Amino acid sequence: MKSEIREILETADALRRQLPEDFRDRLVESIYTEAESITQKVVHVEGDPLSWEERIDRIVTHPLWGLPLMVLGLAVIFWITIVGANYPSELLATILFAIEDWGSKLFAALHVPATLSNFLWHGVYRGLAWVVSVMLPPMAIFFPLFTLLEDLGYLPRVAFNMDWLFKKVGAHGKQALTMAMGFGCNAAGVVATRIIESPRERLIAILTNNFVPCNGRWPLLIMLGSLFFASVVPPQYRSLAATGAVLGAVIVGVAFTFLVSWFLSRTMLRGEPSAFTLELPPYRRPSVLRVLYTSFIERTVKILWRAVYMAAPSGGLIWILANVHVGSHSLVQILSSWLDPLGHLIGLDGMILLAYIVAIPANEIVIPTIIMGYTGASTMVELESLEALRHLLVDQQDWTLLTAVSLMLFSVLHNPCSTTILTIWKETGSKKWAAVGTFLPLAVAFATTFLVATIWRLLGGLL
Amino acid sequence: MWLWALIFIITGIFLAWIVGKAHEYLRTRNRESMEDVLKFLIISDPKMEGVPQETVAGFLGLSRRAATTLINRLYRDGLIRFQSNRILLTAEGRKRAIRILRAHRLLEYYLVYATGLPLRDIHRYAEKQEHRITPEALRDLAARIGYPLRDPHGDPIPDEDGNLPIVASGKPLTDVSAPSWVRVVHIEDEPAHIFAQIISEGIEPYSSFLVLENLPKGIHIQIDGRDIWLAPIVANNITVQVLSDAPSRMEEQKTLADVEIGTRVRVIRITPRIQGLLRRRLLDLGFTPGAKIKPVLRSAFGRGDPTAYLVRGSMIALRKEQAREILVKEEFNETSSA
Repeated sequence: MKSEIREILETADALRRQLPEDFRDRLVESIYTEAESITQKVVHVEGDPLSWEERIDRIVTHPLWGLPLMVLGLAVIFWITIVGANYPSELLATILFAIEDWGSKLFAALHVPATLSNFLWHGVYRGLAWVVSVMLPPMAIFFPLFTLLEDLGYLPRVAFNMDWLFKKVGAHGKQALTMAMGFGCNAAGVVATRIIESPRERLIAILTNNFVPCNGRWPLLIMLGSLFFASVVPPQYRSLAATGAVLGAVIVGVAFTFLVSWFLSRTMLRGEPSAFTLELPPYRRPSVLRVLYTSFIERTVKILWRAVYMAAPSGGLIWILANVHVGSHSLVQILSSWLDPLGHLIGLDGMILLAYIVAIPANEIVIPTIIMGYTGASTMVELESLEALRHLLVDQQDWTLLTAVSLMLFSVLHNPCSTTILTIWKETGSKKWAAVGTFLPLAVAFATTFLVATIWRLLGGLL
Repeated sequence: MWLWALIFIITGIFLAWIVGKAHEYLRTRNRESMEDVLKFLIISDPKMEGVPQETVAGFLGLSRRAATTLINRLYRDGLIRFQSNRILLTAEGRKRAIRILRAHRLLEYYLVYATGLPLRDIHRYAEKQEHRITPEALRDLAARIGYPLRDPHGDPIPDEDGNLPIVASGKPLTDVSAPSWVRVVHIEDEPAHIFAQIISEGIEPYSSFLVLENLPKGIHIQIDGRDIWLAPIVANNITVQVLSDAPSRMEEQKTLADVEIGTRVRVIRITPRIQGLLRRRLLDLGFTPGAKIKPVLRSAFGRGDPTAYLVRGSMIALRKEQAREILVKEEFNETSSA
C-alpha cells in the first residue's frame, strides 16, 4: 500500500517536471474561461452598476479633496473616541474602585494580614482596574468605528491614495491601514499587517507600527498639551493650542514611521517593493452585527484580556516598589534617584523613566505612577484637577516646556508595550524580530530626546 | 578567600565558554567549506569525470596545505574518492552536494520572488543560508513557494532525490544569428561585475528581446523598446533560447502601464519576469490571457502610480512595476464605454 502511494507520487512528480513552463497560466485561464461561459448563460446585468461607485471613487481619490477627506475622517473618529470615552471611563473607574474599597474592607473583616490585603487590592487589583477603566471605553468606541469604515470599503481607497508615499520608503500602501489601526492599539495594528502579502513589507509595517500613538498614550499627550501648550496662549486659543500640540506629536510619529521604514528597507530589510496588488472592493452597506462582532470579540476583548494579563503583575510590582523601604527611602525613591542622571540627559527625570519601566505592560499607568512617585503615595493615584496637577508638576517638580516636549517625543517613539511585543513575536514567529521591534524604537526615542534636550539647552545657554 | 575562589570559578567558566564558542565557530566554518567543495564538484563536473586537486584548491582560494587538509577530511568522511589523482563525489557525497545545491537555488528563488531582494544581492545571502537551513525548513520553504523548477538565474532545481527537471537548453547569445527573437534561460552569476552589468541593462532571466546584429565588436539587441550594444564577453555569459514565432512578437511592446484611462484592452500574457507568488496572485485576480481590462482610476498623488483596473468586474490596483509586465493589445472593435 505504502509503496503504491509512493509510486504514484513519484510518477506525479516526474510528470510535473515535464509540464511546459506556462502550464499554470493556461490552467487558470481555462478555469476563468469556463467560469465566464457559465456566467454569460445565467447572469444578466442591467444598467451600469458601477457608475455611482466610480463617482464616489473620483471624490475620495481626488487630488484636492482626497487627503483632507481622509484627515477629516480620522479626526472625527478620534474626536468621537476621546470625547465619548470620558463618561464611561469615569463610570467604570467609580465602579471598579468602589469594588477595591469594598474588597479591602472585606479582607480586613476576615482578618487577612494588612500587608497581603493591601498588596492584592491596592496593588494588583488597582493596576488591573486602572488599565481596564482607561483602556476599555476608547477601544470599545474606536474599533467599531474603524471596522465600520473598513466594511464600507473606504479604507482600501486610503491605501490607494497613500501608496505613493509608502512606495518611496520601500513599503506597502496597505501600511496606511495598519497605521490607522495602530492609533487604536498597536497590538491590533501588528495583527492587521496580515493583509500585506509580501513578507518584507509586512515586517516593515510590524516594526514601525509603534510610532503611531495608541489609545493608551493619548491621555498623556492630551494632558501635556493642555498643561504646557494651552497655558502659554490667550484663553480663546487654548483648546486650539492643545489640539495642535497633540497633532504635532502625531505628525512626528508618522514622520518617524516613514523615516524608519525607509531606513529598514535600505539596511536590515533590503529589497525592492514587490508584489503590490490592492483590491478596491465595491462599496456596500456594512452589516452591523458583523461590525460589532469583529470589533468587540476579535479586537477589543482579545486585546483587553492580554492587557489584563500583563497589568495585574505590574500593579503588584508598583505596590512593592512604593511600599518596600530600604532605610528611610522607598524603592521608588531609590530607583528613581539612580535613573535621574540618565533621565536628565534626555530632558526627563528618573521618576518618569521608572514609570515607563513599570508601565511596559500598559502605558495607561504612566501618569498615575509618576504622580504616586512625586507625592510619595503608597499606591497609584490621580489628581482631581488640572490645576492641582500643574501645581505638582510645574511648581514642585520643576517641569519645564522642555520636559513636556521630551516626554511627548518619548511617549510617541519609545518601545511598544509588552502586549505589542508579545504580538510581534507571535506574528513573526521570531524572537529576533520581537527584539528589533522593541529596541529599535527605544534607541530612536533616546537618540531623539537626547538631541532635542541638548540643542534646547545649548540654545537656552546662548539666548 | 571565598571571594577569590568564586572569582576564579567564574573566570574559569567564562573561559571555557569562550573556548567552546570558538571551537563551535571553527567547526561550522569547516563544515561550510566542506559543503562548498561538494557543491563546486557537482556543478563543475556534471558528467562525473573527476576534477584535478589543483582546481579545487584554486576555487577555494586556499593555500595548498589548507586545501589538502579539507580534501583529506572529505575523503575520511567518505564523501569523495580519488581516481588517478582526480577527485570524484561518492554516492553519499553526491547526496550531500545535491542537498546544498537544492537549498541554494530554492533560497535564491524565495529571496527574489517572495521577498523582492534585488538579483545582485541574493547570491551572498543564499551562500550563507544554504548551510544553515534544516531539511524540514527547506521542505516547508519548497512547499510554500510552490516547488519551483528553476532558480532566478534559470538553473534547474533538483528534487530531494537529486533528479534535475528537464528544462529548455539554450546557447550563448554570441552564437545566435541575427535577426531573431530570443528568451534568456540562464545568466552566469560569476564573475560578479559582468553579472551586475547584465542586470543593470534590464536583462533578466526569462526576459525576451530582439537580436538585431551580431558582429565581432558586439551584439546589438532591442529590449523593452531600448537599443543596447553588448560586448561579446558579456553576451557570452547570457544563455538564450531562440523563439520560433519571432515576427508576431513585435507588436507586443504595449504594456498595461501605457494604456490610457477608459481604454479597453485584452491581456496577451504576463511576462516571464514575474514569477512565483506574485504571478500566481495576478492570475488568480483575473489577469489571465484573454481577459478584458480597463484602467479606471489613477492615483492623483503618485502620478498614476498605482492605477486601478477593472478586471472581470472587480477593481484591482497595481503599481507601475507590475503593470509594465502585463502585455496587452487594444480592443479596436469595441467602444470604450462600459
